[in-house]
Amino acid sequence: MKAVCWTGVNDVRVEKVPDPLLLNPRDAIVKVRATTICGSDLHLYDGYIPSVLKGDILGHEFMGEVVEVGSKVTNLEPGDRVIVPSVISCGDCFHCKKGQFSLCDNSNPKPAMAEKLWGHATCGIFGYSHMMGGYAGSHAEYIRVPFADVGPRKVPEALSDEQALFISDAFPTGFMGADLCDIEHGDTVAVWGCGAVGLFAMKSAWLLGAGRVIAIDRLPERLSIARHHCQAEVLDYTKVNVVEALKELTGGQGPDACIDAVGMEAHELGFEGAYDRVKQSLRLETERPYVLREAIQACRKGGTVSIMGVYGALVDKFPMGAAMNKGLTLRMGQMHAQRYLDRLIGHVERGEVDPSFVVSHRMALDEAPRAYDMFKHKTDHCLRVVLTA
Amino acid sequence: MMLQESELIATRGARRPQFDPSLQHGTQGINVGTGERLVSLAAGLALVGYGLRRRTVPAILLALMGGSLVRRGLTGHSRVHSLLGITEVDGESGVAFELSTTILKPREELYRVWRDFEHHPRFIPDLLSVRNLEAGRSHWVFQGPAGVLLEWDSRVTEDRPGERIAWHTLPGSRLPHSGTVRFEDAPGGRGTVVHLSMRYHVPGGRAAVMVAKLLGEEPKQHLARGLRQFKQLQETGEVATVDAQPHGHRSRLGKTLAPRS
Repeated sequence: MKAVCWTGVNDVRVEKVPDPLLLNPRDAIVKVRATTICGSDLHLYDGYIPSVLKGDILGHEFMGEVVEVGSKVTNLEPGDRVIVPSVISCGDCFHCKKGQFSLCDNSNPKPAMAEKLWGHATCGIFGYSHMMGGYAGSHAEYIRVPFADVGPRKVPEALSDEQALFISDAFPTGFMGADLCDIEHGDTVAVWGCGAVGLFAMKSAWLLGAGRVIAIDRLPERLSIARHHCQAEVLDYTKVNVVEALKELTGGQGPDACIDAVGMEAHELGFEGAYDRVKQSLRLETERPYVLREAIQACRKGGTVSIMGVYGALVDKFPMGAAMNKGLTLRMGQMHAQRYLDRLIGHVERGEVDPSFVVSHRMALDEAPRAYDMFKHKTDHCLRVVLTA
Repeated sequence: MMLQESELIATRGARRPQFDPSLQHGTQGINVGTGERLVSLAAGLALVGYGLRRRTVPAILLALMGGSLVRRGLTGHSRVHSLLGITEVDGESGVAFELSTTILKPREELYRVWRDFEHHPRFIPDLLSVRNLEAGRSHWVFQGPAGVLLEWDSRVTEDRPGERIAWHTLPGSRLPHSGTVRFEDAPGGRGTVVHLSMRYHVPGGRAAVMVAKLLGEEPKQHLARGLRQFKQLQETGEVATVDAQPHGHRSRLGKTLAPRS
């Protein structure tokens, strides 16, 4: 089959690789009908996530059609159209039973490196480095799906492939970002980053009872989507001081909840931007935590900062004093997809959210190298590319 | 109240604490034999003397190395040995360690699976086969580093259903060792805590231990994988794997690193 392989920093290629096989009784083989490049794939593309090897197949956000199931998969059969969550979870361990699916004890076959770096390993994630299990990803014609009796959900007739696709990763990530804020009726929620995850966090904030949503980015086309599709008030951080503007907009209080939907490669301005860029390129810190610092500074006293953007290791100049003295709640994590899938499918089925609004480009799998480049540089107003084989 | 040494959680210089006092040789962290201590002391002093006379950067580095050898000779404690888990006093060399994990299953069930040694090849990597013999004995065949087959007979020395199994190898074994596995109820209905303590005497002595460790197949790491896979198998019914899955063209480094689970 054809698959998009990481071949070096800023370099992916489409290669011919063997078709995947069932390896375990709870596996399924899925023919990928639609897959997309996620913002977090760019952290791998850019070389900021360790333990990605030449030849690794990328991609974790996808939906497709079941072609083969293992002997213990009784809920699916060949021909089923399915949404497959990006995080792989066994459903049987302590964490899965608590609904903390991305903290699954059993789905990561290579936990040693994460245990050294973070103390414990997370679940396995498709196409997301060997630290996250080394699973082959979805930017391919076929993919092996472990624990297929736990993750995948059948797609209702009424949903198109593109509507179903984002329930695999971006929509539940955005939803969890808002869910972790424990939004009370009428709350003001500020969201940094108007990529797909940020936009879905805005949609979700409304679903969970927010009274006001404020979006922060610098790209006019993305701010316009936030305004028109997500009913957000928008701030361009290259034009205003975000902390001051948020204070002004909220009568001096600051937003009740702040969602970081950017993560480790935030774009920054001025001296602070240069400082983090130099330290990151020298590997003196691994992240550029500008958004996180700003969210903590801006958040109202006693509010919640919810971190959905990906961080890998160490941040510098973390404003612990602000977080502690203002009594903030910090919540974060890789998303627990399986907790949200059914609810989100319901929202889409009832027409409350149409996730396909984030699609800006449709391309063939063969064009993946160009798609990665476009998405990285956001050329041609690229927001999300859907790849089909 | 006096605390036992083994009850204290040491911080500095204790990267691999061994909690079972019976696993520890000596009382003051001595893990270097007397002969080797004298050699360390003499070589260390010579290096320090040389380094201080020359005063070039490489010579000073040598002097620093000499200093650590002197320390090793005087204290009888080697950081390298302690990092690698090697103990060598009383004429005995080997590796001793303890591992534990929590499994969301009742202890009687886990005990039963563990006690039937013929199941072990499903979760211990490179264990090819186990055959139960009579009188608590069993025959084990293991694929060692570089494809060498290691065989041994083992005998159960203590068997408390649902609680504890202890065993040791019989004379003539190619991988002499002894071990104990204990099953305890985890608090709060979290299943069972499984403790595994092992003591190995690796064939070929200390040099072989070093080589095995450098190859990444040291016994502790190996059994940590085994215990993890035991947990996976008991909780999920299978062992998570990415072996034999497709990938693109690998670099030479990738070929070495990628297949390891």
